[in-house]
Order: sequence, then structure tokens, then C-alpha cells
Amino acid sequence: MSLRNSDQSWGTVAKTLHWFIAVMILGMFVLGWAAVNYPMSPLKLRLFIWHKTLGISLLALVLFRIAWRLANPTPVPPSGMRRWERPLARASHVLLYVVMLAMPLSGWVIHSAANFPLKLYGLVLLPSIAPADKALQTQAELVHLTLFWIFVALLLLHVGAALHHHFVYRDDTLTRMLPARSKAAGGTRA
Amino acid sequence: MRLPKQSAILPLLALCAGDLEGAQWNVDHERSKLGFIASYDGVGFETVFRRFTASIRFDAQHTGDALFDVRVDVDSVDSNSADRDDGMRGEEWFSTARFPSADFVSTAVRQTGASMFQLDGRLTIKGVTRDVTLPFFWNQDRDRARMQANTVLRRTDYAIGTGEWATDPIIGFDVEVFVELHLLAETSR
Ligand code: HEM
Ligand code: HEM
Repeated sequence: MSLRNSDQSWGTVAKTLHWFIAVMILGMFVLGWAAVNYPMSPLKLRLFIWHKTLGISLLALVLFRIAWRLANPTPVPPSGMRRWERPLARASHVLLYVVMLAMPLSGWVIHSAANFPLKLYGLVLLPSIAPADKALQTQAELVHLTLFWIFVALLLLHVGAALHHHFVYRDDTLTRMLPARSKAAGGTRA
Repeated sequence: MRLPKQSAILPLLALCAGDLEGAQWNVDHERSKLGFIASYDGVGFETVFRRFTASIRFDAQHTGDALFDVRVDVDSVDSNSADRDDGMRGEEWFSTARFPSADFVSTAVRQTGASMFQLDGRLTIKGVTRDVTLPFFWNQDRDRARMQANTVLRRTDYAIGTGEWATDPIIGFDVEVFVELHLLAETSR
């Protein structure tokens, strides 16, 4: 079991980041949706505060994840993949990283343009990255929402592909990403 | 016998003229600011009222004659956030459709220090009238003056933030009101 990736397996750090971030993002979808739809009240403001606080934390985590990704070997794709599938898999992964960055960044722009203050975890004041401007706010909201739907579409593809590998190709794409496999990391391919 | 009489009247006349000319003040709106600092989740945000009128009669030597009458157009609320401003205009907050103005009328003024005074008056916000005491600083240079005052009000005293907001601290209960007026003496003719 290794913290780092090898060219055959995902290390513990990459796996932990993948699943931790995945859960957080699903949580963010729920929080964002709830915050937008809840009637105006102190709870609505708190949903937004948590949505934003966790969203900015996610941004930091994703940046770390990308740095880790670049500093590690990437396991080679399973041998059973069709020729056309590899660039598609690669492109979808790149796009997932792009939306994982663009989503919190666009949220940060909404937040700045709307000019609400935010103290992360009640401690650090989040700086503004855009001027207070209602028109910009509306545009950023549209971007944030559009990115959300792109994200959902990408995830359907992503999860669909993972399940396809597992149940149709019966390769180890999914299992080598699962935590249980870390004990036998770097081991045999199915 | 005539000389002393004259010498007594002249300064009195001068004083009267001074009263008429120097005691009434107009607000230089370009430079003046009236608003408050409230807090959102513990972080302060500044809000100003873009429109207000003030009728001010004040002479530091004759505080007994002073009168401050200020009317604020609450709808002109501006916290540099369109969403928040709209929120503040709503029923639960300033309810500007029903209560378009906030008013302050002084009842007494007295001096408390070299440039410090105290203003008693009646403040009406959202239809709720309360007696308030406002310490202020007055700095005058002939026909120009600067008045500065700060005080802390409790928003719930004026029904600002009703329903859940009345008991929830996410929008802080204490609101720091600030007034900074740059004044020009009204010149007769
Ligand atoms: C991975 C990170 C994020 C995800 C997945 C995410 C997701 C969402 C979703 C699903 C919505 C509801 C969209 C709607 O119904 O209109 C939303 C709304 C919102 N999010 Fe995020 N968000 C993220 C990060 C952030 C960050 C970091 C901020 C601010 C610092 C933020 C601020 C907002 C705001 C202000 C809204 C309301 C927009 C509106 O009223 O239309 N989000 N977000
Ligand atoms: C919000 C949710 C998710 C996000 C953002 C996400 C993102 C990613 C990204 C960016 C990669 C590429 C890693 C790299 O090449 O550096 C990846 C790999 C992977 N993901 Fe996800 N993922 C999510 C959820 C899931 C779920 C629910 C599953 C399983 C059903 C899954 C299964 C996999 C697998 C098996 C891989 C490994 C692919 C390979 O070895 O080439 N992911 N994920």
C-alpha cells in the first residue's frame, strides 16, 4: 500500500481525494439547490454560508489534487479499452478537472459581485475577486448553473463508463480506484 | 450718557445678525454621509442613505435655540449590493413601501465638552418612535462646519427584522449608526 501512484495503481492519496471530493461535490449540489430554493430566512443564509465555505474548501482541495496528479505517475489505462475510448476517457477526466475548478470560481464571482461578506469557518474573510455589480452577478449565476448541468452530464458519462468497465469489460478500472484495493495496490490486473 | 447705551446695543445687534446668518446650516450632500454599519454573520457591512434632508439650526454659543430636523428617504438605502438593498426594503426589514421615511427631530441640545455636544431627540423608524440621545462632535470654521455623530441602536427596538430575524443573530442586533455632515452656513441674500 502506497501513498503515491504507480503506473499500475492509484495510491492512497489519489483514491482518498477522488472519493472525498466526489462526496463533497454531491453534497454541494444538494446544498446549492437547497440554498437557492429555500424561502428567505436565517436558515437560507446559513445554507449559502455553508455552500460557499465548503465550495472554497473544495477549490483548495482540487488544486492540491491536480498538483498531486502532476507530481505522480498515472496508472496506465486498462488494456481492454477500445482505441477510441482512450482519448474520450482522457478528455472527460480533463473536463472533470476543469468544471471542478470553474464551478467554485464562478460561485466566487457571484459571491463577490453580489457583495456579501463571508468569513470562512467564522475565521478568515474571503477576499473579493470581482466588483460589486448586479449584471455581472446575474451572468455568473447563469454560468454557475450551466456548469452544474455540464457537471451532471459529465458525471453520468463518468459513472456510466466506470460501471461499463466493471460489468461489461470486467476489467479492474473500478476496483483499482476503490479503497479496498489499496491493500493489494500495485497487484494483479483482473 | 449716550455712549454707553450705544456700546451696549451694538454688540447685541451684531449678535442677533450673527444668529440669523450663522445658525442656519445647509448640508453639502456631496461630502456628507448618513448611514449605518450592520453585520452579516459577524462581518460588518456599510450602508448609506443616498437621499436625506436636514434642517439644522445650531450655534455653539446658543445651544438652547438649536434644532435638528432630519428626514431620511429609506428607499435610498445603498449597501453596494442590489440583492441586499432589495432585501432591506422588504416587509420584514425597513418596509419602505409603508414607511418611506425615517425622521429625527431634536428636543434639546447641550454642550458636554470642548467640541462635544449632546442631542436629545425623537427618532422614528418604521413607524416606531423612540427617545434617543446622540453625542456629537461639532467643528466650525466660520461659515463651514462639520458635524459627526455615532451611536449604536438595536434594530429590534424599531421592528427592523421581524419574524425569525427578530431572534436570530445572523443579522446582528446592534447597528452602528453614523452621521457625518459637512455644513455651509446659510447666507441671507
Ligand atoms: C464545487 C463547487 C460548487 C458546486 C458543485 C456548486 C453547486 C451549486 C448549485 C447546484 C447551485 C444551485 C444552482 C441553481 O439552482 O441556480 C449553486 C448555487 C449557488 N452557488 Fe454554488 N457551487 C459550488 C461552489 C460555490 C462557491 C465556492 C460559491 C461562492 C463562494 C458558490 C455560490 C453559489 C451561489 C451564490 C449560488 C446561488 C446562485 C443563484 O442564486 O442563482 N458556489 N451552486
Ligand atoms: C463528483 C463525483 C466525481 C468526480 C468529480 C470524479 C472525478 C474523477 C476524475 C477527474 C478522475 C480522473 C483521475 C485522473 O486521471 O487523475 C476519476 C477517475 C475515476 N473515477 Fe471518478 N469522479 C467522481 C465520481 C465517481 C464515481 C461515483 C465513480 C464510480 C461509480 C467513479 C469512478 C472512477 C474511476 C473508476 C476512476 C479511475 C479511472 C482510471 O483509472 O482511469 N468516480 N474520477
